[in-house]
Amino acid sequence: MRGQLFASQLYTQVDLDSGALVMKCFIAHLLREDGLYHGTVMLGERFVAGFVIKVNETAEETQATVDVSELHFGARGTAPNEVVKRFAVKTGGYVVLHVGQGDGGYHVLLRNTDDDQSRPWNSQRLDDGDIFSTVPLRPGSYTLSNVASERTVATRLVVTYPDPRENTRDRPRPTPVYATFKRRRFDPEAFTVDPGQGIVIATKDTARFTLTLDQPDDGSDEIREWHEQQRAELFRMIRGRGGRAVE
Amino acid sequence: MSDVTLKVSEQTFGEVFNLVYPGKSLKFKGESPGAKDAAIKTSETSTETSKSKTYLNVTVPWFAIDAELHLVAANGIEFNDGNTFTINEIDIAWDKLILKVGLDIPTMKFGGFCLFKVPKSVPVFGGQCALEVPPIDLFTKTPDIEIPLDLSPIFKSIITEISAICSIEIRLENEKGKDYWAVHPDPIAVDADLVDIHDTLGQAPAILYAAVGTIVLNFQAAFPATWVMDVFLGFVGLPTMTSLVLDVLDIHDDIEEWLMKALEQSIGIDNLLMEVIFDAILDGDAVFKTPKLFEILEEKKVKPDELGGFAVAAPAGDVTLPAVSFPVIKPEVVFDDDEMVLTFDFEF
Amino acid sequence: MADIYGAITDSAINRAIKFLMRWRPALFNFVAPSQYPTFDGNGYFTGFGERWLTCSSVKWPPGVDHNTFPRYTRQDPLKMPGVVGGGIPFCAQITDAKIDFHPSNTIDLPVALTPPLMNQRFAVWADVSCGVGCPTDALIDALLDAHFYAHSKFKLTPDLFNQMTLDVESLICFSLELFATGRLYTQPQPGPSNPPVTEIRVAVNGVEVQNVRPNGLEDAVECYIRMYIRAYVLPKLVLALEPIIVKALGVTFTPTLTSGLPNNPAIEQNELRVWLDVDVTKTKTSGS
Repeated sequence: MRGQLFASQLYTQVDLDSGALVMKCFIAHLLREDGLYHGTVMLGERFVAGFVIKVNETAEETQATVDVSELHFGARGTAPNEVVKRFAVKTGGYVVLHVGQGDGGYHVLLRNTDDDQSRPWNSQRLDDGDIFSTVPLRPGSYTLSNVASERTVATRLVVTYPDPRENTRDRPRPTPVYATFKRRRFDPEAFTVDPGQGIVIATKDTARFTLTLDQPDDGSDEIREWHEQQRAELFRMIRGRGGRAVE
Repeated sequence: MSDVTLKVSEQTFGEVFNLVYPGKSLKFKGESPGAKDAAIKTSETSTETSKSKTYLNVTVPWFAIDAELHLVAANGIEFNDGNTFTINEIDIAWDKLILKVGLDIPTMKFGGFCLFKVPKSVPVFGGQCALEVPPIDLFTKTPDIEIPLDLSPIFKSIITEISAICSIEIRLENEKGKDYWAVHPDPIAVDADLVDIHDTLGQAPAILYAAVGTIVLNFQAAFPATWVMDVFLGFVGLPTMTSLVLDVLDIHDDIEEWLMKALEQSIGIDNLLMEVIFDAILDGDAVFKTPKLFEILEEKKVKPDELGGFAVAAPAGDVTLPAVSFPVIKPEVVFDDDEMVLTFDFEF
Repeated sequence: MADIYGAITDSAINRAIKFLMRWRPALFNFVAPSQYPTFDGNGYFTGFGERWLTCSSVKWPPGVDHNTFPRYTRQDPLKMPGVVGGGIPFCAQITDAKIDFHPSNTIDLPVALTPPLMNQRFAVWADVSCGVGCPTDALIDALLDAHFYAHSKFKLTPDLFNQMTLDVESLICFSLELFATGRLYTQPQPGPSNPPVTEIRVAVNGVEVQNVRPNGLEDAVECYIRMYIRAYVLPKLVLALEPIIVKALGVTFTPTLTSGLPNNPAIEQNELRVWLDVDVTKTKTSGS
């Protein structure tokens, strides 16, 4: 069983930035006004793909889920102003941006072409009503910050180490942690989550959220010892010396 | 009344049958019909404000068998009314029995949760998820695992009961340019039953666990770090990779029972055995043969000095007297009480 | 119960006899041919020609080469005191024959054989056509007189003369009906084998020849025939129960007669029947 089993980005991309979207990150932006929105997917300074969202009352969908990496790879060979995909969303619905594959690092610009007066939206600066969500996997201690504030606001986030000895099939999966950022504060002020447990931050202020790993957690000495025992048991199994898998 | 009547007892018939049939190696393969895309949820949680589910798409494990056996003996042959006979016990010996267990490690997604819900006060849609993020694929590809289990150490422990009902038929066959009347058993029904696996020596678990252990070791090597494996196991809800493989394969304490189930239900080894033995009897040799042209006197070379009555003077060299033979006709075979009765006439 | 039972009807055997008569006539037609000297254009002796004289005509079976297919088996000529030359030509032809197993229904036994046919007995009937050569007086004279041969200037030497079967151009023919009754019996085959191989043999109880007169001559002929049958025919009618290899199955049957039966083999209900116990084994191939 050789070759990549996992998308490596899932475990190598530990530090996250809402302004440079990667896998495990999501941004939801509210589409308040009717109009024909032109979306531009950027990779750094480089334009990589275009898309269109038609927002009106008659649309059935309340959410347009846009995989920006899919647009990027689908747009290869097209001209800069060509549209790769079209969406239709009901007024008051959302566009949800995410990265399905690849190294990511995208940001998105959105402009209502029906309203010259409206300000283009840039995912590198989230606005009131926008939602940032992420699913951290790497156990450890992190700093969660909003770097768009005049003064960076930070708080602590801990991703616990999953003790395999406590795994049971019927243990309920934890629901996401819902938080808000307003008046330059995170609420709640600190977070502790399990790997794979989502974090949803709805912002009232201008925001660009970053997550930085301060201290990785590779499990306690006890867990390490337990893994060694399991490995020894495994070898006994293979050599047929009466070993059974310890559960 | 037929010219010639031959009767053969059940016992002699059985003895000839056991000399003619056994020994041939019969090979067969089989596969379980693997169901694809069976989704097995490992957990789903709903609360007031959100719903989170993690599920595992697991391909139901498939089984395949690569086997070889030979007939050892047919015991308890009984002639029935209606021109059939029953073989109450066909003993077989396994020469090769490789059971392959195949598993596709699941496509796995995690996440897929609700960003926010429609307020309850809103009619119709109140309480439903208004905004959802799509789940994330954990694996980029789904590796196939194949575990070959060589069951030859426990051959003797595999108890099978096989019986057959055959009719008896006479066929005209040609072998090396000569016609024969051949009496063949033709199978009507074969019943094969994998009764039990008695593994009092405890080899079956060792075989299985050694194979599982090797696979687990290889699988573990594909995880880039221990924490990644532990996160994965946390999603699945199992403490070790071994327990995952054993769990997905539904292997518990009773290995013999698991083997039985794999062989019987998944592979349907009973049916495969039935077919292979059915075909072996069908394609098998005759239990009795007689040339269609019965030679009463063989060809003979004689000196012409001893003979006369030629059209002209006696030939110079030896004279060849052709063989004298006549056709055997109207062959019939029936069972009568405990005997097989073969009758035929001569055509002259 | 016996392992194997076999039976054959007397009508099948009789049809086989007729079939053989047609296809191997030499088995049923015995002839001592008459001979005559042959000469080249200059009158020199070159050898003996032969006349195969018979009383009953014998046809070739269909499809055989008449030049190479024999119809008769050569016999030595008859020699008796007073018979000059190499001997008297003759023929003995079995023109018809049949066998009848108990209960008898195709052969009417003559009174001398005390019909009806007894249990476990068979009856045999044969129609035999015989002929004997008789030389003419002129031939005898010529032969007696300095052994000159009538058509030649060449003098036959005594040796040559004594080799030559009398030259006749026809036979004096007559026919006989032959009846016999007999039974089967078993005995161990003489020899070192252990256990001994069983042989099935034929015993002839009675012989009767019809159409020969006076009675004394009939008795003498019957005596001769009985002697011939016992000395010459019966020794060939022996079936030893040796292992039978059935090549087609790769199996060897080693038979023994089933014991405990009143008659085995048996002659009953117009069939010859035998019950055997067999030991069935795989035929050993050479080198195995």
